[in-house]
Amino acid sequence: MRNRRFQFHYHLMMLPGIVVLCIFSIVPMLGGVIAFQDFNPGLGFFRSEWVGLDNFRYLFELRDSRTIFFNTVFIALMKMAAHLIVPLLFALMLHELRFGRLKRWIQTIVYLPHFLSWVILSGIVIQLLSSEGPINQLIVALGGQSIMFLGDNNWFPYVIVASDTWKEFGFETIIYLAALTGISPDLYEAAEVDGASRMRKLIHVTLPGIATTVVLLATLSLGNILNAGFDQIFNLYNPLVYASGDIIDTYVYRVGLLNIQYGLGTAVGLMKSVVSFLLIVMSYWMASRFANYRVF
Amino acid sequence: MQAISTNTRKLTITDYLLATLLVLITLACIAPIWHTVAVSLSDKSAVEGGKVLFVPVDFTWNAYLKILDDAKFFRAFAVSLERVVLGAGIQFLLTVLMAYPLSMNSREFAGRNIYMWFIVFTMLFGGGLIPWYLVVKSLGMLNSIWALVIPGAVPVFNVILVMNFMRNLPKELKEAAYIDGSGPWHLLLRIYIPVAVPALATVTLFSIVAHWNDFFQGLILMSKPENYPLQTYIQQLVVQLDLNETDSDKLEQAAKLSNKSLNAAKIFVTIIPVLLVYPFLQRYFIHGITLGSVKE
Amino acid sequence: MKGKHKKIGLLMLACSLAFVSACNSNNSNSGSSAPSSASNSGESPSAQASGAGSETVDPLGKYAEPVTMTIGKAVPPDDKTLPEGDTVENNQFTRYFEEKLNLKFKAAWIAAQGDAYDQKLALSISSNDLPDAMVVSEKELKTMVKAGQLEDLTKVYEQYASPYLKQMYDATNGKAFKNATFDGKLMALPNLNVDEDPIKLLWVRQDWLDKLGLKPPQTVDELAAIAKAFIEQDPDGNGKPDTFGLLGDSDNTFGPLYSAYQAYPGMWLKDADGKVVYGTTTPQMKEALGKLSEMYAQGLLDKEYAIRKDTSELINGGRAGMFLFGGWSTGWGLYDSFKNDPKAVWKAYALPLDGSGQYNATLGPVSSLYFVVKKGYSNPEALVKYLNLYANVENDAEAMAKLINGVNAAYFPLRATFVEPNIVTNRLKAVKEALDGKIQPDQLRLDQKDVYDKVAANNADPGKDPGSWMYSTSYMVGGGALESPMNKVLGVFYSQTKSMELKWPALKKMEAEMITQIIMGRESLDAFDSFVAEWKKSGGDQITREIEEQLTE
Repeated sequence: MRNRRFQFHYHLMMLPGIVVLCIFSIVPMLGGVIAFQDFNPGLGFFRSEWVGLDNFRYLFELRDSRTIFFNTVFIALMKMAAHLIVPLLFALMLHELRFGRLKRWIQTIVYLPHFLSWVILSGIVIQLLSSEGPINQLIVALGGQSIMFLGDNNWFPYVIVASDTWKEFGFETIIYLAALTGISPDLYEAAEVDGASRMRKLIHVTLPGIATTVVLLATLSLGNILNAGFDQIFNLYNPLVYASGDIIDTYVYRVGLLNIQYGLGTAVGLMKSVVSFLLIVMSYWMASRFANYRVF
Repeated sequence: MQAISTNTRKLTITDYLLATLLVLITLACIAPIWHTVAVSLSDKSAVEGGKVLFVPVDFTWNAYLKILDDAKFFRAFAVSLERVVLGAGIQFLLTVLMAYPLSMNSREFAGRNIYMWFIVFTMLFGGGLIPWYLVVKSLGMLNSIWALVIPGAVPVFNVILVMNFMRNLPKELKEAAYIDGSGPWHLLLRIYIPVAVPALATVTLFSIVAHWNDFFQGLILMSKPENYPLQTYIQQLVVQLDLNETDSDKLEQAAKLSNKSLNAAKIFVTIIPVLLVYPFLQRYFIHGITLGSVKE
Repeated sequence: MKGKHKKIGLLMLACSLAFVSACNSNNSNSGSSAPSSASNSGESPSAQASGAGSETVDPLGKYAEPVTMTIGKAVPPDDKTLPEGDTVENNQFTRYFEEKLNLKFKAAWIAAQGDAYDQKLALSISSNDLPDAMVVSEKELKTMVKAGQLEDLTKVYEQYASPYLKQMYDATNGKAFKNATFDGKLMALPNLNVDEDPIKLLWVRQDWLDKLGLKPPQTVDELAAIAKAFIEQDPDGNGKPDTFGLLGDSDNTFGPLYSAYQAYPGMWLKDADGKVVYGTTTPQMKEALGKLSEMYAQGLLDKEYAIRKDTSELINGGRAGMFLFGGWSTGWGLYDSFKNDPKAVWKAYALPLDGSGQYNATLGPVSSLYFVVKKGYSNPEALVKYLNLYANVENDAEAMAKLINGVNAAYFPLRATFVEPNIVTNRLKAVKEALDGKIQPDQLRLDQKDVYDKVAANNADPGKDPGSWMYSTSYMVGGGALESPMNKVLGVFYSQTKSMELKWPALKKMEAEMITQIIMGRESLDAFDSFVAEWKKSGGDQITREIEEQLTE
């Protein structure tokens, strides 16, 4: 059977990558044992004191545990949704655009904010949202009252999500655009022949054509369920919005300012990994069971 | 068979509205870049005084001249260049080698599911920074270009993306090739790679950008600043003047260093190379190359 | 998404140990110390060289055979002051020590000052891969002591410290060594901070005061009045209501204003009964917060002070004329203000005064950086010898001539502030005497002359050379304000206790939230009382007790 012959070659192709992954991903994982120790660099891995789940317990027994967990998940979920929908919509719109040159320029430019770091962008965002900034000026011109976006717990999470989406949507748009090119034009022709309107083509040809990509991205994005975006929030938050903006990572960071924290950091990482993995497994299983579809 | 081009349809009002909307969004994305460029072309004091918005104040090329005068900048640039070429190249190779077998289903490639979950696992789990660092160190890679290129040689997310793309290609491709007596390597090189170009262009772009943008690995894996890649070098230069600083020594150093105009110039300069490379890759995921038809 | 998980390691600096490090733990990575220890016939390889060798204990003596010390070096990133041909390992500073002590330096790793250095240092500690000697902060010191990575320096200090070095440390009355001593053993040699550095002053646009016919504010109420005038009376004369009253920063640093109420947030002090108390929880703090919230409500404070991360733009852009978060050295950050408006004149004052007419100046810890030696290094006394010379540079004309000449002092192999506590006012006094003609400039100590030269140059042509302007403003204006009579308030405790590790972040968060909410009027002043109660309950009392215990030890 040709398959048996091919097997060997497939394994061969996988080999170099698997080797690299084993060395640089699997082996370091053994060091994750730190999460269960009171790690002491002088004693090392074998002799540091074992504390079991203490590091995890600390995280859950904080005064603010509930707040920071909630904030983390809330912001992360919103980001996941926004990062899924906005680039998709934009890619579809761009796909429909008939002006070829413009299309390429637009696509290039929307990718650029990705290159600016939050250290730079935070200054810009702060100025943008300040009481003298354009947004508030617009609000006041329309008869409203100036809003202190970065100092208001009602607004802060949304500011975070919106600015992050704005920064990154160009990146994910590219993925969707690539997927869109994979749709065979024959399908569009057939629809055209059937007299389908633009909208119908969108719904019946385009969307199904990229459905697998959307599902894949959605599933993989679950890996970020506990990543609310340390870099961004760290550069934008302040005591006024701790209640809605303090996340696990920023809290742990402040703990680390006092003492070098070994166990806690690793414990948080481990926790994130476990949660992400479980969610991904669950969605994979659900898609497999209910839609008979293998996500990956 | 010639595709019926949809271009014969007249431009409607929707087309113009769409274009306008997209252009507005694009302007919102380019604004901070524009601001950065304006700052880079302004006199330092004007910038420190917060006087620059979108138009340079006291126009000067000083910042850029200073960059050209700085040997360290070019050295870091060269390091980054070497890193991108090697890194993206190796990643491309491994991505293709892994995505292709993984795109087979489990009947064609036994063990495919195991490999798949294995790489997803490595994408989600890690042992933390230090064990990873020690592994790299124990292999003697520190302070060499290989430290920047080998440990991350398998970009799992990219592999999954390409795998998904390949999986969605019409089965006829494979069937036809098998009937012609192709082996797996032939199928990969002659058929799959050319067809998967949109996805490959996308992930290549991501590879290049990831390597180009990284500063953290450059920082911890290189022990001498001469070996820093560009972003690492620049990162340390973006110093915020903090009048709150109690250590007079530190304040003095910061004051000497803090030059917002120069910082802006350096940031912009790091974006330029990506902008130059970009169009070459862009055409593959904007227009795409699909079977037997020519688009737009 | 891809690879981002590795980035999480960044912020945690979580350390795990790969199987490799177990083999690594005591292997010296500083290969260079091995050969030199063999050639150092007199010194025993272990740290406690109790004169057991044939080499006599000479604090300032040169080594018979060259001794090499590897260091982790922080360098100023964009610096161009090194002459052609000089490197981090071979420059005027390293040559000086080589000449005087036969002590050579090699850099195990080099990183830019600031974040980069801190990351590398943490990595070095965590992977147990240490250079022979380093400069670390308290956080790292504690970890390293706990990890057993450091050499005990008690004996080598005793034996090798020069009289001058001992004198400098003794002048702190034991305060310097307090945080460097663990279980009675001296595990590090601390630096000596400039007393005057942390003292906050009132910086104000004198030209605005003059224009509006106002005098520097003696009291808090006068300060509020000036803030009001700055906002309403268009001091920058451009017809636009774009000027600010009192600027704040997101750390709620209104220092001198708090001090005027004898409130000292963030500091541990002894109250009237001699008990340890945390400054933010005192009744005086409540009073100060009341005033601040009143000022905020009246619009006298920058409305968005808590959000603004970059106040220097307002200051240098001529829109703000008064702030309380700068020390004497603020002059270094004000040059662009002058450049943008040559008529801008900034002055510093030790104001406002408290109820009894005195200015309460808050001090910081005596030491915040520590020179440490790796355990097992062959020549720990080399560090002491290094410091003997390093501490004495300012008193040694020959050294000064060789070392203070425009090359960035950051290139000293091991560098941390190590000077007399009142060096600013001392230098200022000398400079003023020279300016008045009481002494000849050449009679000045070299570091004083350095300042004098810059001040004189700036006087001759104000603002032409940014560096001179910055020096002049910092010393003459900032330093000048330091000469006013002050009541210096020193905290009793600047370190961490055991419970603080677990509880302090939560307490600090509570504190920051409370202060900001009250000042900005989102909570009433009563929130202060509930804060104090909550603070005490959530660990504040426990920590206070621990500090009391430590102090009585």
